[in-house]
Amino acid sequence: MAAAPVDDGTLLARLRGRDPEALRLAFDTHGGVVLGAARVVLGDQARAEEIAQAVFLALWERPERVDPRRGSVRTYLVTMARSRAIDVIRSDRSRRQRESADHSRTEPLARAAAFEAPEGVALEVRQALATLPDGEREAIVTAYYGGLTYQEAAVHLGVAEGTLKSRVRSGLAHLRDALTDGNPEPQP
Amino acid sequence: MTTPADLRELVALHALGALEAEEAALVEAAAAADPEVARELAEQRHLVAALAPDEGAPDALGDRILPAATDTSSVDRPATTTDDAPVVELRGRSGPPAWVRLTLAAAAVVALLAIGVGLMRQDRDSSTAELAADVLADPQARVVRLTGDDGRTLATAGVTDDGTAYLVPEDLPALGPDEAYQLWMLPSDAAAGPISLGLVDPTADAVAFRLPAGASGVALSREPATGSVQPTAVVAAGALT
Repeated sequence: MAAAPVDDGTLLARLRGRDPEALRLAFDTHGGVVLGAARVVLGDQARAEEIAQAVFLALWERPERVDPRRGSVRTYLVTMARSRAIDVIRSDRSRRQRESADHSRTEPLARAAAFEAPEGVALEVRQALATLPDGEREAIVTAYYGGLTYQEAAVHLGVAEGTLKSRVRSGLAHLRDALTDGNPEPQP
Repeated sequence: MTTPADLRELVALHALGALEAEEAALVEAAAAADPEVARELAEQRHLVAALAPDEGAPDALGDRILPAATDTSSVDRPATTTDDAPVVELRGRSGPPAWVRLTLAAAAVVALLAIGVGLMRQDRDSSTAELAADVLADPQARVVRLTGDDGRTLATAGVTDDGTAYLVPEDLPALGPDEAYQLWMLPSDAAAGPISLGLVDPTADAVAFRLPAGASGVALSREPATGSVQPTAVVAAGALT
């Protein structure tokens, strides 16, 4: 269901006022991307939904933690979902490395190998990614959609860690430029 | 040494979620100390958030969240009071933190200005663990990795802007029957000495505490079961800034 647009200040004020409809509105507005941020890393719908639920419950319990001066509600929720998803996969990975080989997360790693952004990423973002030099796009896509550390991404791509780091930084700068040219949304 | 150029690379990687815990903590500390770094991190996170796919919000998931929120709306917020961890406010900050040296030599010379050894709140229900997970995932919270001598992370603490904090024990060595772990605040003002934040159950999923202003780090020490007035054997420590 499409949610009526609401600005962050109004949404947060209603959440601080313990308005349950505001939580529903937050979910209707941001739930899809929060779920996507978790699922793209985990490759597992059920676990992604668990994380999305926890993220929205945290928003409900602690709306004061969102400081609009430091970013939008959407960025806050997506960052939180991704962070929790990454914690889950790295915890899983540590456990599996102790026990056996890691055969999980086939889908995210395959996507990283193909340097592809998944379905659901905004068209302008996909187009902006396509304008990046190959090395920069591969570095960003591998690390982000693969849920990899930069060290892991460097091994995955067969480049030095320093090269990977500099490509991520320059790639994000170029991505910002590409998005800002056609769409001012990335400015916080 | 981390140069400004190194730091900018790390900020970009942190926004992307591509740093291991130790380097992520370094960026968080830099952002906490420098508004310019905080601004750059916020901008990078905003940009990176655009990479997330919108997969649509299933109505069924929304239908589960609202009742769950209503059910938990009375969950208490344990670390917002100081009742469980008596501490004394510090004198003002001065100079760079000397917490590493201070911690490793803790038992030697530093007199405590104030001691409070209390049993911290360490609920075994899921609410404290959930709240701790929320804080550790919160991009606006500060994360402290408490590492041992060998560099391994033995516990992780998440601290919010208002001092609400949670400690998550990860791989603490087993204690003898008459021993306990004790948590300490390491003040920026090194002369003040470590301040007890209370005893910690190392088997708890998470422990809530309150970190007063003026902290440069936190440490865990191995103590007699009744606790100590100063650290006896520091097993892990981490810098807040």
